[in-house]
Amino acid sequence: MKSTSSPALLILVTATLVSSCHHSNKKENLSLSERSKPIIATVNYPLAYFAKRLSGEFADILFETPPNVDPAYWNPTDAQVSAIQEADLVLLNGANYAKWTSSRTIPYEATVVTSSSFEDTFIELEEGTSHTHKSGSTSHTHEGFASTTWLDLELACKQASSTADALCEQFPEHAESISGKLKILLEEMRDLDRKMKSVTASLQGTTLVVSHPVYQYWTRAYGLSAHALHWEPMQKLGTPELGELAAIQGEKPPVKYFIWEGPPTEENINKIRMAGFINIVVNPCGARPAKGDFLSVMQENIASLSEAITAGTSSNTGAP
Amino acid sequence: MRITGIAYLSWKALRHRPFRSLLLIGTIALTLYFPRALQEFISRSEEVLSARARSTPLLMGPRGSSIDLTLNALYFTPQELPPLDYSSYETLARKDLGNTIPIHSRFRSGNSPIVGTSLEYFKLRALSINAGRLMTRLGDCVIGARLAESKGLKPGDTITSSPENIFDLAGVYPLRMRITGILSPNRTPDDHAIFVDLKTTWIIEGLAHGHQKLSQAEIMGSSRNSAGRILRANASVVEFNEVTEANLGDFHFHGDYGNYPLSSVILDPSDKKHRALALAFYQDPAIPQQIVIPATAVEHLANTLFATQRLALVAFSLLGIAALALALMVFLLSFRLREREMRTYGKIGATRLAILCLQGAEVTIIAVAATIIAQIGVTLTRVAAPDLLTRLIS
Repeated sequence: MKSTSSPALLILVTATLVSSCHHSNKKENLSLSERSKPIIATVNYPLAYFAKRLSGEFADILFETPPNVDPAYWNPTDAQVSAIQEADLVLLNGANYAKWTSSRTIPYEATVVTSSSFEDTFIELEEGTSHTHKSGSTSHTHEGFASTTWLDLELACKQASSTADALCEQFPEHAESISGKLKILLEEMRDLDRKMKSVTASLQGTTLVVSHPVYQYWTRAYGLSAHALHWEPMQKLGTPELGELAAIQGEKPPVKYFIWEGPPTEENINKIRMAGFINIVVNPCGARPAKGDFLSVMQENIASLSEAITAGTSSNTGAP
Repeated sequence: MRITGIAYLSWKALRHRPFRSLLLIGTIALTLYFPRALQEFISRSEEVLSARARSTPLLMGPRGSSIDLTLNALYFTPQELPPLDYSSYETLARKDLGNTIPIHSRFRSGNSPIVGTSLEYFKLRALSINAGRLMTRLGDCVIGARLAESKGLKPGDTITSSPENIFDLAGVYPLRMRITGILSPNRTPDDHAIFVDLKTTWIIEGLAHGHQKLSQAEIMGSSRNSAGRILRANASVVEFNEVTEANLGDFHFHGDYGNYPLSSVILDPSDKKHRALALAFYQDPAIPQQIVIPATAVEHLANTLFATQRLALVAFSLLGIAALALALMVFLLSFRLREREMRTYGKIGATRLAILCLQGAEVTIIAVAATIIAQIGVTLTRVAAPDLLTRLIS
C-alpha cells in the first residue's frame, strides 16, 4: 500500500519542480512593457526640436531639463535616468555636452551622437575657470571642447541630418515621412543661416564681448571675434565687473557690442550702455524657450543682432 | 496465505532488522542512483549549456581557447585569456552588424563575479528586475536573485569588490557599490552575478577614479613645478572608494578609452547576412581577435563530457554489478539464517509457494524502496543540475 503511494508522491514532487522551473522562465522583461508610442530622449532643446519636427506624431520626445536650467550642466535624478533608459533612441549632442551622460548608465545601443560627422572640427577650450551660475548651485569649469555646436547653423543642419538618419534606422517604417520633413527643416535652417551670415557680415573685424563662453561655433561660423566673460544676465554688476569691461575696451579694437545669453536686468542694460556698449541678446537656446521654438528663437537672435547693428551704425554716423 | 498477510509478515521481518534493511536499501539505491544521476546531470548540463550558448549568437574576444572565451562570457569563469581592448569593441560596433554587448568579468566580490556590461545584456538574457531598478550611475549594481537571497541583500544595500591580491597594495581598489535592483531568478549564472555599468569595472581596475579636488585646502602644500602650472598631488589627496551623488562629478577617466580592457563582446547579428559578414571578417589571421559561435564551443565541451561520461558509466556499471552481487549474497545468507523461521511457517500451514512469496516480497520491498529513493535522487539531481553546473564551472 505504501509502495503504491510513493511513486504518486514522486510524480507530484517532480511535476511541481518542473512546473516551478517553467514558471520562472515565463516572467516578462519589465523594460519591454508596452507603450503607446516610441520614446526619443534628447540632451538639449535643439535636438528635442529636430526630433519632434522629424518624427511628427509617431514618437514622444523626452527632454526633462527644467526651462531655467542649462542642459549642459543638468544632473538627472535616478528616476529620470531610469526613464531615459526606457527610450528607444537617445540623442546626444557630443563634444562633451551634458557631462552627466558619462557618469550615468544610458542604453549605449540606442544612443546616437549627432555631432560625430564633424567631430574633427570641434573647438578645444583653453584651461577653464571654475564658477557657479547661481549662489548655492554646483560650480563647473568649461574645459575640453566647446559644445554649443548648433549655433553654427550649418552644423545644426548636420545634427538634424544625423537625427533623421538615426530615426530612419530605428523606425524604418517612417523613413519616407522623416526624409520629407528633413528636407523642409533643412530649407528653413539654411534660410536662417543665410540671414545670420548676412546680418553678422557687418560685425566681422570687430570684437564682441559675450557674457558666457558658449558662442565659439557661432563666432567661427560667421567670422566673428569675441571676448568671453562668465556673467549671468541676472547677476548684479559691480565695480570689478565694470573694471573688467573697461580693461577689455582698453586692450581690444573698438568694442561696442555686448552679447547676453538671455534678457538681462534693466539695471545691467543701463550699466552696459553707460560703459559704451550696445546690448544684444543672442539666445543659444540650449534649454526649451519660454515661448516659440528653436527656429523662432534663432529668428529673434537675427532680429536682435540686426537691430543692434543698425543702432551701432547710426551712433557711428552721429544719427540719434 | 493471503497477499496482505504475506506483505504484513515481510514488513514485520524487515522492521525486525532495521539496520540490515536500511543498509540494503541504501546500497541498492546508490548503485542505481550514480549511473542514472551522472547521465541525467550530463544530459541536463548539456541542455543548459546549449540553451545559454544558443542565446548568445556570437562572441568576439582575444585569440586563444574558444572554450575559455565562451565559459568566461557565459559563466563568468576567471579570465584565462588576455584582455580585449575597448577599441576592438568600437570597431565591431561601427560595423553595424547587430547589437554589440561588452562583457568585462575580471573582478569578483567574494565568490560572485562582477560583470561590467551595458543595458542590452538584460534584454538579450530576458532578465527582469524583481525589486528596485536597473543601475543608473557609476558605482551602481544589480545583483542576481540567488546572491541576494544567500547574502540577505536588498536594494539600497552595498556590496564591495574584492581585491585580486591582498598583498598588491597598488592594485585593484575595493569599490563599495550601491545595489539598485535584484533580478528575478532565472536559474543561470546570472543569479549569482553582480552587474555593473562597464565604466564601473574600469573604476575597480583603477583606470577611472574620484578624489577630492586638487584645489582644496588640505593639499595646498603640494608642490608646483617651476612654472606653477602643474600641481603635483601628494598622498593627502583622498581617493573615493564609493560613488555618491556628491562625488559623482569628481570621477574621471585617465588615458585613452580605446586601450581600456574588456573580456569579450557578445554580437547579436541583425540577420544571417550580417552574421556571415562578422564570421568572415574575423577569419583574417592578421586580426588579433577571434569570433566564436558559443553553441559550437559548447558542443565541443559536451562531446568531451560525453566521453568522460562513458568512461564513468563503465566504472559505475562494474561497481554496480559488484554491489548487487553483495546484496544478493546478503539476502541468501539472511534466508539461510531464517531457515527455522521458515520451517515454523510450514508447520503452521504455510505452503512452499507462500514461503517463497514471503521471501520474494521482502526482496521486492527493498528493491522498490531503493528504486524510489534512487529515482527521487535522480530527479533532484536533474533539477539541481543548472545550479550545480554553475558552481562547478565558476
